Amino acid sequence: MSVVIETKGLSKIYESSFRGQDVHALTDLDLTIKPGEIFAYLGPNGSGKTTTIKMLLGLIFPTKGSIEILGLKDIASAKVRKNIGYLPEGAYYPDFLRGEEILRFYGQLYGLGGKKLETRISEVLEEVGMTHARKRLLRGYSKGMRQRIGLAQALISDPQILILDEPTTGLDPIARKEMRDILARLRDQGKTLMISSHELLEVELISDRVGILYQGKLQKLGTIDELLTDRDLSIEVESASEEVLSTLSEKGITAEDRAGGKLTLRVASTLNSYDALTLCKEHQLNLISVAPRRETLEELFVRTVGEAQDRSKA
Amino acid sequence: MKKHPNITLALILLLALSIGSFQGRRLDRLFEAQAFLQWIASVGTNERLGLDGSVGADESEKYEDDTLYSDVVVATEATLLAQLGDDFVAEEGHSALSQALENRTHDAAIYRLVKSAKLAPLRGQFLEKLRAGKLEYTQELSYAAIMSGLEGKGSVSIFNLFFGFRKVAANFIWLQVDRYWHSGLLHRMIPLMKTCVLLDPNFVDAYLLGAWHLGYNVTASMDYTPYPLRTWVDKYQDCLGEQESYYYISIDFLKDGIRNNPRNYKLYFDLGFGMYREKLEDTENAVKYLTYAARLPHERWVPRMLYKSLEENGEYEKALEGWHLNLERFPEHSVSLRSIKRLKGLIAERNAGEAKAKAKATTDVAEREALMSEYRAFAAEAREIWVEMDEPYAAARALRLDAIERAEKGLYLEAVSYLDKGRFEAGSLFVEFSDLIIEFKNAGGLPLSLSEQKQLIREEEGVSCVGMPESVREERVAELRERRKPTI
Amino acid sequence: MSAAVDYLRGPWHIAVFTWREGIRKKTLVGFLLLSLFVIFGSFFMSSFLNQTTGSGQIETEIDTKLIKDICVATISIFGMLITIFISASVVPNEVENKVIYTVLSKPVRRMQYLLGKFVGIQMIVLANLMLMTLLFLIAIYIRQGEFPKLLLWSALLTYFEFLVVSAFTFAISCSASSAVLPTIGGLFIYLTGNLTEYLKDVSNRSEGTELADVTIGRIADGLYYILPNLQKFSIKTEILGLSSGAPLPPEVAEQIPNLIAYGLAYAVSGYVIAYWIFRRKEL
Repeated sequence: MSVVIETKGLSKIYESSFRGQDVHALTDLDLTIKPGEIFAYLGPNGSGKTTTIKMLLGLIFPTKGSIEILGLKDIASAKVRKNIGYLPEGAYYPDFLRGEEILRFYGQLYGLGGKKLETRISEVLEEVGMTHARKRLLRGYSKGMRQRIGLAQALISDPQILILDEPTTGLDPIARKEMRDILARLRDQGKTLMISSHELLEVELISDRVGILYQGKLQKLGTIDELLTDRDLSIEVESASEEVLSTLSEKGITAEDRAGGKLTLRVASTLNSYDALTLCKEHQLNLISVAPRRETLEELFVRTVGEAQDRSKA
Repeated sequence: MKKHPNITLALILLLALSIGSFQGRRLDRLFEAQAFLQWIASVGTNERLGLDGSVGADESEKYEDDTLYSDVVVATEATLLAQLGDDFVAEEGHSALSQALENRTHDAAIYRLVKSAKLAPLRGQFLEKLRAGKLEYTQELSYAAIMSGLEGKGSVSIFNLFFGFRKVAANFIWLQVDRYWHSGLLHRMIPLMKTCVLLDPNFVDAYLLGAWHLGYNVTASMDYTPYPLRTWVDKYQDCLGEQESYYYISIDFLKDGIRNNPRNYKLYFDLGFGMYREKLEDTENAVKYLTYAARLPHERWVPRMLYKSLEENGEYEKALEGWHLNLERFPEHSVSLRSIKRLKGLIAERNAGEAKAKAKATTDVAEREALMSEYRAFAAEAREIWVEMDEPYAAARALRLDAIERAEKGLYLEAVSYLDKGRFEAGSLFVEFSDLIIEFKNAGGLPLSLSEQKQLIREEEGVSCVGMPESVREERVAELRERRKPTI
Repeated sequence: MSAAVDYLRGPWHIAVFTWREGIRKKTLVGFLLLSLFVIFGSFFMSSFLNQTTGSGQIETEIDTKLIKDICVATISIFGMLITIFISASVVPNEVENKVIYTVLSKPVRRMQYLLGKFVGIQMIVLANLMLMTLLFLIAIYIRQGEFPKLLLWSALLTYFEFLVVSAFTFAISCSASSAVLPTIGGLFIYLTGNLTEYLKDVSNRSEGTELADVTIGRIADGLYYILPNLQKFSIKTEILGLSSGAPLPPEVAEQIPNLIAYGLAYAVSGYVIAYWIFRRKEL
């Protein structure tokens, strides 16, 4: 199978009781997710990420367009559901239960039971690194532990597809790192992951393909390499006067960051590296370092959103 | 389902609501049948016990209970008798319906009949009359389901105002009645008591305690009203003074209770024993209500009180039979044993008296002689029993026999002294012996004491009161003559 | 058969889960404690009566009646409040804390989910009712020395009254996003359910010839025939007045199954409405 999730012209309009107040949460989304990849679904708050995911899960219903999961149109069918694990954003898990009890409940909803379920619970707990806390009440869990239990419940039926809504939000750096490792391991097991996030750095580190959503429209879609084509030079110097900086910016060298007596200059890709260095020398700037620089996902994101904003204004 | 989910759901919903609505109507019919049954039970109890209505004659004209009830009786009699089988026998002068209502045994048959299509027109009439307020014996407030939309009435019944918790409201009202009683506000108790049982017609204890308050506690502080000051009341066929009027309020209250709870022995017991026997000294009615009380599931003292009342009412044989039954159930019960002996003695005495009266009446010498020897034999039997019993009552009865013997010989003064001793020996015989003393004194030409003269005056007065109809007065005078006729 | 069992397995696990979560609710425990307080408080009410009367023997019966009536009313009122609060909150709470997303993304159809939730609610309501009834039985036993069996009939009817209110409250809760509105709605249903008789009154009074009169009368009449009438269940208090030793009188014995059928029909209606709302609900 070459595609696990495919949407065609998927749109969602929240009708308002007032004429003309309808909210176009998602417009004509064409998306394909291939098996075994980590797809990062990016966008600012309110851009339509969660709307898309909810439609994929059948929690809300499309106004227009079609969804096919694993080649099936009936996305509420047991076959599809058994192969999707979902971690919602900021979900609450009843804290009067123990870790393993929660997993047992969710496992039972998949029709699992008996020894098979118990083994699976152990496996999943191992996978998310929660074996030590399986007998503890959720009341005593930290936020990271809760998130891992949430991931465990999504994994309980050993699904092919995992849809994770903001999996790392609100976690401390160590927990994030651990979560990232788990996700990478899952990809290595051959699972397909769809991660919605605005933690761009995280995503950049693990994802294969990225879709950027803004105002309900898919603005960019492609692999990280395809999207982040912009490469340029960054030059660190000791200091520079305002006068010098304004002259340099006319030539295509912009001041980017000023920290601890250092100034980072960014050289536009249109400018030759050698010319740039020459310019620095001409203005008698003290060089500290010179390094090649790739555009970050964050920059791409900000740029994309900015462009979209400009377009909608125009 | 898959193709047209909305239509399917709408159909299912419609179906469920229709079933609910249908069931609702069905329940309405059942509640109507229940109300009809309750009403029949009330009016049937009226018929069976010969109770009077709780309202006066002029007001009772407004009500149509009796005509409707007789229609129901006519319509049900044959079917009911057929259903109940040959074992069922209605009492003399009672309809099968009212008789069958007395205890639980025939409830199922009656209910079937009440629900049947045959009685549908009468049921309709009942509802119509009920809604028009033309029925007296209805527990209106209980019929919430069918009482709505009454023309000219408060429409939705009070029932609804309490969300079905009428009984709780009745309880709280009762607490207030209790409070009034302890603060001596008797006049405030009565309306509240009535409200209380209106809200909860099955609040038997409210009837009992209310009647007790009215008959005993309220009247305790009142003075005796001499007959000339009393007023004749048609409804009760009696001369009422201050106390008596409360006795009758109490009696009416208990009778209301009986109509609403015809199967609770306590109400019959309190009416028969508490009111008729203790307060009005009406042994005939006491026997009547105690008999009903004893037919229902009851406590052991109920039949004993009945036997006692039977004895007081002169029905010695029935009383004797009763005590024998009691002895079977409670062997070695000392009161039973004593009562049996006493009744045997009383029967012997009565037989003696009868034989003597016959002997006096006959002209045939031989027959008179035979009767007199019969009389002596009975008297001897009685004496034997009294001597054997060895207790104050028996001793007093024996003294009476002695007194009669002396009187027969013309020794009236001696006879009077025997009786005088006897009446102080056993207080319960005081009235009987005092009457006999007066008789002997008159026969012997002895002067009456002041108290005896007073008693005679009181008796003369007792035949009339304010507003008493002449016919009743004549009756009473005749009764008094009968009582004062020489017995010896 | 096995398909049906498979279909019901999910709802069953959801019901058990709902039950385990529900019995830990603080409002529920609060109401329960309050009702226990009243049940045992009715003892004091009657001892207050005793104190002032002084004549013990006759009064004991009034005591028991007082306790019985107050307890049945208490069970009815607090049980109803618990029913309304639970029925109103189970689904909206789950929407609010997003547990519903994790459940509905599993192979669980919405029908199954609702069924599970509804059954879970009924389990909580029943457990509550049984607990209160049991304590009431004990209270009466302490007082009277015998178990009033008729109370069990009374409790049974009380449950079916709860069931009707529960189903309609549940239906409202399926359309709401928080528990506040359905709770108010549930109370409203309870009140109006008890006042259905007034509709009959309205229709009887609007006998004029004017169009408005006739229309109002028709509407009232229609509603009267469609809406559940909770007053019909009030024989639950009447039953207690019957003597406890004997079997039920035939008229009451016939009313009970009919009332149960009545309650069930309206409960099904309420549930169908709930599903109809929830079937395409955007979560």
